[in-house]
Amino acid sequence: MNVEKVLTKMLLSCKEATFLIEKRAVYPLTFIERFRLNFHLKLCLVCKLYQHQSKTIEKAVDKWVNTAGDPKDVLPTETKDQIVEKISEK
Amino acid sequence: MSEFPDATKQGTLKDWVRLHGDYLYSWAYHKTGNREASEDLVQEVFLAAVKNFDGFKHESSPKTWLLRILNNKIIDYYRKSAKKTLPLDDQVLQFTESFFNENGNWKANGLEEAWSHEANLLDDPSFNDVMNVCIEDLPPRWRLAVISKYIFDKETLEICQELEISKTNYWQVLHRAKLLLKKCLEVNWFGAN
Repeated sequence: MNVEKVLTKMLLSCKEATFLIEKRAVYPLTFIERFRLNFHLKLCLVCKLYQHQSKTIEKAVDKWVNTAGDPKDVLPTETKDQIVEKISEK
Repeated sequence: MSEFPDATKQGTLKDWVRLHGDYLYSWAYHKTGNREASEDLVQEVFLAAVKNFDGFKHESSPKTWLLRILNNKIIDYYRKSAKKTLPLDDQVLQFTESFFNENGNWKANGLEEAWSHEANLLDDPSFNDVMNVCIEDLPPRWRLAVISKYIFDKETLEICQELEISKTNYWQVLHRAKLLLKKCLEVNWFGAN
Protein backbone atom coordinates (compact mmCIF):
# COMPACT_ATOMS: atom_id res chain seq x y z
CA MET A 1 0.00 0.00 0.00
CA ASN A 2 1.08 3.54 -0.78
CA VAL A 3 2.69 5.24 2.26
CA GLU A 4 1.10 8.60 1.61
CA LYS A 5 -2.34 7.02 1.48
CA VAL A 6 -1.76 5.37 4.83
CA LEU A 7 -0.60 8.63 6.38
CA THR A 8 -3.58 10.58 5.04
CA LYS A 9 -5.87 7.98 6.50
CA MET A 10 -4.17 8.17 9.86
CA LEU A 11 -4.03 11.95 10.07
CA LEU A 12 -7.15 13.90 10.81
CA SER A 13 -7.97 17.41 9.74
CA CYS A 14 -8.14 19.96 12.56
CA LYS A 15 -11.89 20.09 12.12
CA GLU A 16 -12.13 16.33 12.67
CA ALA A 17 -9.64 16.41 15.52
CA THR A 18 -11.50 19.11 17.43
CA PHE A 19 -14.72 17.20 16.86
CA LEU A 20 -13.16 14.13 18.49
CA ILE A 21 -11.89 16.26 21.38
CA GLU A 22 -15.49 17.34 22.04
CA LYS A 23 -16.85 13.84 21.58
CA ARG A 24 -14.27 12.47 24.00
CA ALA A 25 -15.47 14.89 26.68
CA VAL A 26 -18.89 13.21 26.74
CA TYR A 27 -18.42 9.76 25.23
CA PRO A 28 -15.61 7.21 24.94
CA LEU A 29 -13.74 7.20 21.62
CA THR A 30 -13.14 4.02 19.66
CA PHE A 31 -9.62 2.63 19.54
CA ILE A 32 -9.07 3.97 16.02
CA GLU A 33 -10.42 7.41 16.92
CA ARG A 34 -8.16 7.59 19.94
CA PHE A 35 -5.16 6.54 17.92
CA ARG A 36 -5.82 9.07 15.15
CA LEU A 37 -6.51 11.89 17.61
CA ASN A 38 -3.34 11.26 19.62
CA PHE A 39 -1.35 11.12 16.42
CA HIS A 40 -2.82 14.42 15.27
CA LEU A 41 -2.19 16.08 18.63
CA LYS A 42 1.48 15.08 18.52
CA LEU A 43 1.87 17.07 15.34
CA CYS A 44 -0.57 19.95 15.67
CA LEU A 45 0.09 22.71 18.20
CA VAL A 46 -3.11 24.65 17.50
CA CYS A 47 -5.26 21.60 18.29
CA LYS A 48 -3.19 20.89 21.37
CA LEU A 49 -3.97 24.41 22.53
CA TYR A 50 -7.60 23.86 21.58
CA GLN A 51 -7.79 21.01 24.09
CA HIS A 52 -6.83 23.44 26.81
CA GLN A 53 -9.23 26.10 25.53
CA SER A 54 -12.05 23.61 25.41
CA LYS A 55 -11.48 22.67 29.06
CA THR A 56 -11.42 26.33 30.06
CA ILE A 57 -14.71 26.89 28.25
CA GLU A 58 -16.22 23.83 29.98
CA LYS A 59 -15.29 25.23 33.39
CA ALA A 60 -16.65 28.66 32.47
CA VAL A 61 -19.95 27.15 31.28
CA ASP A 62 -20.22 25.07 34.45
CA LYS A 63 -19.68 28.22 36.46
CA TRP A 64 -22.25 30.12 34.42
CA VAL A 65 -24.88 27.38 34.88
CA ASN A 66 -24.31 27.22 38.62
CA THR A 67 -24.14 30.93 39.30
CA ALA A 68 -27.19 32.51 40.84
CA GLY A 69 -28.69 35.54 39.18
CA ASP A 70 -28.17 39.12 40.26
CA PRO A 71 -30.10 39.71 43.53
CA LYS A 72 -31.07 43.08 42.08
CA ASP A 73 -33.32 41.27 39.59
CA VAL A 74 -36.48 40.74 41.59
CA LEU A 75 -39.84 39.31 40.65
CA PRO A 76 -42.29 42.24 40.35
CA THR A 77 -44.78 42.39 43.23
CA GLU A 78 -47.75 42.25 40.84
CA THR A 79 -46.45 38.99 39.41
CA LYS A 80 -46.02 37.54 42.89
CA ASP A 81 -49.60 38.53 43.73
CA GLN A 82 -50.76 36.97 40.48
CA ILE A 83 -49.01 33.71 41.27
CA VAL A 84 -50.41 33.65 44.80
CA GLU A 85 -53.88 34.19 43.36
CA LYS A 86 -53.44 31.35 40.88
CA ILE A 87 -52.30 29.04 43.66
CA SER A 88 -55.55 29.79 45.52
CA GLU A 89 -57.55 28.79 42.44
CA LYS A 90 -55.87 25.41 42.28
CA MET B 1 -55.67 10.90 48.52
CA SER B 2 -53.44 13.84 49.22
CA GLU B 3 -51.21 13.78 52.27
CA PHE B 4 -51.82 17.45 52.88
CA PRO B 5 -55.08 19.34 53.17
CA ASP B 6 -55.41 21.82 50.29
CA ALA B 7 -55.34 24.83 52.58
CA THR B 8 -52.00 23.84 54.13
CA LYS B 9 -50.52 23.10 50.75
CA GLN B 10 -51.64 26.41 49.30
CA GLY B 11 -50.50 28.31 52.38
CA THR B 12 -47.03 26.75 52.20
CA LEU B 13 -46.68 27.51 48.53
CA LYS B 14 -47.79 31.10 48.99
CA ASP B 15 -45.07 31.47 51.61
CA TRP B 16 -42.57 30.01 49.16
CA VAL B 17 -43.55 32.56 46.52
CA ARG B 18 -42.62 35.32 48.98
CA LEU B 19 -39.50 33.52 50.20
CA HIS B 20 -38.02 32.11 46.99
CA GLY B 21 -39.78 33.99 44.18
CA ASP B 22 -37.00 36.55 43.75
CA TYR B 23 -34.24 33.96 43.80
CA LEU B 24 -35.98 31.82 41.19
CA TYR B 25 -36.68 34.86 39.05
CA SER B 26 -33.08 36.11 39.06
CA TRP B 27 -31.91 32.56 38.30
CA ALA B 28 -34.28 32.34 35.33
CA TYR B 29 -33.31 35.79 34.12
CA HIS B 30 -29.61 34.95 34.32
CA LYS B 31 -30.26 31.87 32.17
CA THR B 32 -32.69 33.35 29.64
CA GLY B 33 -31.94 37.07 29.48
CA ASN B 34 -35.68 37.64 29.02
CA ARG B 35 -37.73 39.25 31.79
CA GLU B 36 -41.15 38.34 30.51
CA ALA B 37 -40.18 34.72 29.92
CA SER B 38 -38.60 34.56 33.38
CA GLU B 39 -41.80 35.74 35.04
CA ASP B 40 -43.75 33.09 33.13
CA LEU B 41 -41.24 30.42 34.06
CA VAL B 42 -41.44 31.23 37.76
CA GLN B 43 -45.21 31.13 37.60
CA GLU B 44 -45.08 27.74 35.87
CA VAL B 45 -42.73 26.46 38.57
CA PHE B 46 -45.18 27.30 41.35
CA LEU B 47 -48.16 25.88 39.49
CA ALA B 48 -46.22 22.66 38.89
CA ALA B 49 -45.25 22.68 42.56
CA VAL B 50 -48.92 22.84 43.63
CA LYS B 51 -49.65 19.89 41.40
CA ASN B 52 -46.71 17.81 42.60
CA PHE B 53 -46.62 18.96 46.20
CA ASP B 54 -47.12 15.43 47.51
CA GLY B 55 -43.97 14.42 45.67
CA PHE B 56 -41.92 16.85 47.76
CA LYS B 57 -40.36 14.64 50.41
CA HIS B 58 -38.56 17.21 52.51
CA GLU B 59 -35.31 15.41 51.65
CA SER B 60 -34.15 18.51 49.88
CA SER B 61 -34.84 22.09 50.86
CA PRO B 62 -37.88 23.71 49.22
CA LYS B 63 -35.50 26.06 47.39
CA THR B 64 -33.54 23.14 45.86
CA TRP B 65 -36.74 21.38 44.90
CA LEU B 66 -38.17 24.49 43.21
CA LEU B 67 -34.86 25.13 41.48
CA ARG B 68 -34.88 21.63 40.03
CA ILE B 69 -38.36 22.25 38.59
CA LEU B 70 -37.18 25.61 37.25
CA ASN B 71 -34.16 24.09 35.49
CA ASN B 72 -36.42 21.66 33.67
CA LYS B 73 -38.67 24.55 32.64
CA ILE B 74 -35.64 26.49 31.38
CA ILE B 75 -34.64 23.53 29.21
CA ASP B 76 -38.18 23.40 27.82
CA TYR B 77 -37.95 27.11 27.10
CA TYR B 78 -34.66 26.66 25.17
CA ARG B 79 -36.07 23.68 23.32
CA LYS B 80 -39.05 25.70 22.15
CA SER B 81 -36.89 28.67 21.08
CA ALA B 82 -34.53 26.28 19.29
CA LYS B 83 -37.43 25.03 17.17
CA LYS B 84 -38.42 28.59 16.30
CA THR B 85 -34.93 29.62 15.19
CA LEU B 86 -34.07 26.73 12.85
CA PRO B 87 -33.00 29.00 9.93
CA LEU B 88 -30.05 30.13 12.08
CA ASP B 89 -28.51 26.68 11.76
CA ASP B 90 -27.06 27.30 8.31
CA GLN B 91 -25.52 30.59 9.39
CA VAL B 92 -23.81 28.95 12.35
CA LEU B 93 -22.46 26.15 10.17
CA GLN B 94 -21.10 28.60 7.63
CA PHE B 95 -19.56 30.79 10.30
CA THR B 96 -17.80 27.93 12.08
CA GLU B 97 -16.65 26.48 8.73
CA SER B 98 -14.87 29.76 8.10
CA PHE B 99 -12.46 29.06 11.00
CA PHE B 100 -10.92 26.28 8.88
CA ASN B 101 -9.27 26.27 5.48
CA GLU B 102 -10.36 24.15 2.53
CA ASN B 103 -8.56 21.11 3.98
CA GLY B 104 -10.34 21.41 7.29
CA ASN B 105 -7.28 22.73 9.09
CA TRP B 106 -7.16 25.80 11.34
CA LYS B 107 -6.75 29.25 9.99
CA ALA B 108 -4.68 30.23 13.02
CA ASN B 109 -5.37 33.72 14.39
CA GLY B 110 -2.38 34.13 16.71
CA LEU B 111 -4.55 34.34 19.82
CA GLU B 112 -4.38 30.63 20.70
CA GLU B 113 -1.41 30.98 23.02
CA ALA B 114 -2.99 33.83 24.98
CA TRP B 115 -5.38 31.32 26.59
CA SER B 116 -2.52 29.55 28.35
CA HIS B 117 -1.10 32.69 29.87
CA GLU B 118 -3.95 33.29 32.26
CA ALA B 119 -4.04 30.65 34.92
CA ASN B 120 -6.78 32.16 37.06
CA LEU B 121 -8.99 33.27 34.22
CA LEU B 122 -12.21 32.12 35.85
CA ASP B 123 -11.57 34.18 38.97
CA ASP B 124 -11.60 37.34 36.92
CA PRO B 125 -15.09 38.89 37.12
CA SER B 126 -14.65 40.74 33.84
CA PHE B 127 -13.80 37.48 32.05
CA ASN B 128 -16.98 35.96 33.44
CA ASP B 129 -18.93 38.99 32.21
CA VAL B 130 -17.61 38.40 28.70
CA MET B 131 -18.44 34.70 29.04
CA ASN B 132 -22.02 35.65 29.98
CA VAL B 133 -22.38 37.68 26.83
CA CYS B 134 -20.91 34.88 24.72
CA ILE B 135 -23.29 32.28 26.15
CA GLU B 136 -26.24 34.61 25.71
CA ASP B 137 -25.18 35.16 22.10
CA LEU B 138 -25.30 31.44 21.35
CA PRO B 139 -28.41 30.56 19.37
CA PRO B 140 -30.78 28.45 21.57
CA ARG B 141 -29.95 25.09 20.00
CA TRP B 142 -26.24 25.48 20.71
CA ARG B 143 -26.74 26.97 24.12
CA LEU B 144 -28.98 24.07 25.02
CA ALA B 145 -26.37 21.49 24.01
CA VAL B 146 -23.54 23.20 25.84
CA ILE B 147 -25.30 23.80 29.13
CA SER B 148 -27.46 20.66 29.28
CA LYS B 149 -24.56 18.60 30.59
CA TYR B 150 -24.36 20.86 33.66
CA ILE B 151 -28.05 21.53 34.10
CA PHE B 152 -29.09 17.88 33.96
CA ASP B 153 -25.98 16.34 35.41
CA LYS B 154 -26.82 13.24 33.39
CA GLU B 155 -25.18 10.81 30.97
CA THR B 156 -24.97 11.59 27.26
CA LEU B 157 -27.67 9.12 26.32
CA GLU B 158 -30.19 10.68 28.69
CA ILE B 159 -29.27 14.19 27.54
CA CYS B 160 -29.89 13.14 23.92
CA GLN B 161 -33.28 11.80 24.90
CA GLU B 162 -34.08 15.06 26.67
CA LEU B 163 -32.94 17.07 23.65
CA GLU B 164 -34.61 14.69 21.21
CA ILE B 165 -31.47 14.34 19.09
CA SER B 166 -29.15 11.48 18.15
CA LYS B 167 -25.78 11.02 19.80
CA THR B 168 -23.87 11.98 16.65
CA ASN B 169 -25.99 15.06 16.27
CA TYR B 170 -25.33 16.00 19.90
CA TRP B 171 -21.56 15.79 19.43
CA GLN B 172 -21.78 17.87 16.28
CA VAL B 173 -23.84 20.58 17.95
CA LEU B 174 -21.53 20.53 20.96
CA HIS B 175 -18.49 20.90 18.70
CA ARG B 176 -19.96 23.87 16.82
CA ALA B 177 -21.08 25.50 20.07
CA LYS B 178 -17.56 25.24 21.46
CA LEU B 179 -16.13 26.75 18.29
CA LEU B 180 -18.56 29.66 18.57
CA LEU B 181 -17.66 30.25 22.22
CA LYS B 182 -13.95 30.07 21.47
CA LYS B 183 -14.34 32.62 18.70
CA CYS B 184 -16.47 34.93 20.82
CA LEU B 185 -13.97 34.85 23.69
CA GLU B 186 -11.06 35.47 21.35
CA VAL B 187 -12.74 38.46 19.77
CA ASN B 188 -14.10 39.98 22.98
CA TRP B 189 -11.49 39.00 25.55
CA PHE B 190 -8.16 37.72 24.30
CA GLY B 191 -8.09 40.00 21.26
CA ALA B 192 -9.35 42.99 23.22
CA ASN B 193 -6.90 42.73 26.13
